[in-house]
Amino acid sequence: MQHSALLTTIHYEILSTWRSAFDWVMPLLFFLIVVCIFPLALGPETQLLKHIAPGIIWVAALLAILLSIGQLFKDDVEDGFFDIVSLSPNVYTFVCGKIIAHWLLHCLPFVLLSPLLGLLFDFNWQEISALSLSLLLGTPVLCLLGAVGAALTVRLRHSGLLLPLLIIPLYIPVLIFGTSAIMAASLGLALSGYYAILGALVLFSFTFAPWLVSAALRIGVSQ
Amino acid sequence: MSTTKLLIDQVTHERQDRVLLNAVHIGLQAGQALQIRGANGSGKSTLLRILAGYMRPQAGRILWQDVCIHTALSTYQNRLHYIGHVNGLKPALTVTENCHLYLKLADAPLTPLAPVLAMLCLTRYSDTPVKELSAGLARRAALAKLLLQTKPLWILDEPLTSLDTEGQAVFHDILQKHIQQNGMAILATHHTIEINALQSLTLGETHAA
Repeated sequence: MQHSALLTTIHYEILSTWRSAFDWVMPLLFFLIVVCIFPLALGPETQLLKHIAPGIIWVAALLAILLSIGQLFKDDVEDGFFDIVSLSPNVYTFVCGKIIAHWLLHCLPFVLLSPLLGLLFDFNWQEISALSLSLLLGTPVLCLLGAVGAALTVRLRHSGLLLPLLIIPLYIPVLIFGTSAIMAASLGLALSGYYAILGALVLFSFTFAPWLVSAALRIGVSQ
Repeated sequence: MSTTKLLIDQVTHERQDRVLLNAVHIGLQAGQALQIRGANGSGKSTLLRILAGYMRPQAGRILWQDVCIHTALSTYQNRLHYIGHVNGLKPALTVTENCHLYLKLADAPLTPLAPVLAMLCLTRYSDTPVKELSAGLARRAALAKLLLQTKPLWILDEPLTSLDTEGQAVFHDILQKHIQQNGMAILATHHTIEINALQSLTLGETHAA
């Protein structure tokens, strides 16, 4: 039963976002545009761009996630849907489902598009695979930590800038290991250490974040 | 038969230095309904949220079968339906999808929806996204969960808002049936509720009526 409640939540979350496709496409376009304006601002020097590209792509992904994750629980809380869910035994499952659906909709496209962006910055295939893999492992952490911030700020009217201020400091480890993996790949170094640490961060945040989110949302319900 | 199942025991609650609920004390037995009246801002919704276990009162307790609800909150909350002044539906999903999601999250078996929707005259709208429904139809869709799963206690905040005469009649039928089957209901509404075994509590006065 738990299992099917999770899958049902994911299914309906995806369906619900799919029907308002505009919300879904905007963060993705934002990600692409941020990446594309750097070459325009810095000039077409391939070496310079290639050197800073990992940072650009990672920062763009991070900002795009922050842009979308603030809304994660807002609608459900305002529509009173979370009031209903919080009476059920499946609050934790619901939170997990929401975060997983958010990752599938808003982060998996970044991972899938990343080889294309790699080509744009003249990456070789090792660098491309490092870029995609580090995003694949890093973006779930960004989602999970962002969800905690979103749950904590869900009742605030003007939480627009508070969420990034709260969450960006927590994103620093992911950013460091994600970009270093790509730089190490361009130097031909071993990458397993970086992946292992990113993987560990995923497991760590998946253990604690949904629980923290449920607790934060429950506190929100009591006001 | 009549042991007190739900007791609101001297509940006091303040908000911003204003006493909303002042030692509210009333008991409710199986097969009874309680109508809460009071002016706007008199604390009706707050009392309902306290009764549903969302908030803790600043003083006093809510007892369910002589046990404070906060000692086994999830068991208690599993026994009640709460419908607030917002409908608690996902606007992008259809009526059917909302019902399915609700049943799955409640760990309830998938009951056939057709009779429930027919009773609420929603059959025509079963595949319409909730955001495209009128306020009254959306309210009916919110009431559907009362029929989807049997629970002993209903806590309803202005259930009749934006319902037409026919919708109000349907709601009365549903409520009457629930009470006859030994269910309990607590409603905050200004509409006249015509059922047997109705108690009434008026907030904003020193003593309960």
